[in-house]
Amino acid sequence: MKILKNVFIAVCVLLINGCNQKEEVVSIQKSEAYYDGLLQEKMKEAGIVNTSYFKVEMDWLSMEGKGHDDIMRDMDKVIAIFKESYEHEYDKKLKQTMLFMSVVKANGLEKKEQFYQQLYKLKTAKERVDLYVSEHLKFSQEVAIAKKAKDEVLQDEIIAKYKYLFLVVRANDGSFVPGPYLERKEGVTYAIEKYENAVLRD
Amino acid sequence: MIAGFWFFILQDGLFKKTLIMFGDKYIYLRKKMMYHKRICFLTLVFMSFVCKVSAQDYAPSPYYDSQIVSLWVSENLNPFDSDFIIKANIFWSGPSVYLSEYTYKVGSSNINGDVSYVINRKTSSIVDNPQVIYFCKIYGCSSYLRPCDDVSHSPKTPDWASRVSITCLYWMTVTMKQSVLGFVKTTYHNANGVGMSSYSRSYYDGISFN
Repeated sequence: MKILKNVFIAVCVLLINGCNQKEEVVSIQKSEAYYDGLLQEKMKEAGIVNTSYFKVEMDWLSMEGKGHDDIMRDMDKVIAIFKESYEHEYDKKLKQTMLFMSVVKANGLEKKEQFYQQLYKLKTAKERVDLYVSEHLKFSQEVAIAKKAKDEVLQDEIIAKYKYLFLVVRANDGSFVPGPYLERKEGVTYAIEKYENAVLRD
Repeated sequence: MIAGFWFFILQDGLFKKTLIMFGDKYIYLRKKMMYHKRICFLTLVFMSFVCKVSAQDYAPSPYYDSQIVSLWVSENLNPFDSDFIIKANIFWSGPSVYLSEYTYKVGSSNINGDVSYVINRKTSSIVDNPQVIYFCKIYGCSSYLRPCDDVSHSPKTPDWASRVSITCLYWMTVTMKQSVLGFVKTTYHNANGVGMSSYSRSYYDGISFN
């Protein structure tokens, strides 16, 4: 019996050691920069580009304890998932940008603002969408700084400054039609807030 | 009422004076005066009606109401994407008009997700306009003591009601962060000019009607 007990303990020790060894082998990861580079490359292959409105990064906190093979497998899975949502996002933003540009053109304002000139200079739709959205984000960041400083005058100034960026959509009776503005609808008029004579109705 | 009466007297006196001045054209003026008297009488009737409504100040019963508006919806159909809506609950009460609103998010996320939003700009206003309505006094009518459209249910009593129009518009930037298998996706969305605009409702006796 004593021999049997010793053998049992020996087997247990061996098993535990074996498990530990196996885990050590699995948890070898390469450098963060390596995975970052790989992610960007694989995304590019799938047609996803990091833009002002769509970013994919690695969360290194939740990567702990994952092996190289696990990370590679997850990366492939995730890119397939994100590809769909990237296309969906791009589609929506493209519609917004197209509508905005068509309103600018219909009012003959292409050369009135520097931003419009920049927008029309760009050749691909992807660049235009990126510029249009990043201008909105710039506005948002500036407002956030003014809000943090609790400066209401500055806030109003920023809003007035960026009025070339906002669409004013009205129904036939002059009432404001709330967004989101993705497609041109019939029976409503589109204008740019800065170049609309009437004040936005309160 | 009193003003209407004095108006009647004054008009009558004025005509008697002209009658003396042009004595030979008596019949003509007499006819004209009769005609004028009729106008004066009608004016009196009209003024008495106006007095009836405006004699009491515009003081409708208090009313309060609310409305929920969707400001932004994550429209992704992907099962791995979170399903999030940012809503605004807009409250108002009157007749001393008061408006308050707060925004919040609802939704579920299948995988770790987070939605945050910044309101860049906001316009909100409320206007209370007095409105004269005629409510029904026919007991048994479905709109008893309410504004009634039935022509046969007359006479109807005039009273004050409130016509309230509300505007609440937002310009927001929504940031959506999602973590799938250790990969974080960050997306930014513009929600411009979203909310509720030119929304109006009428209230009588604290209850809304349109």
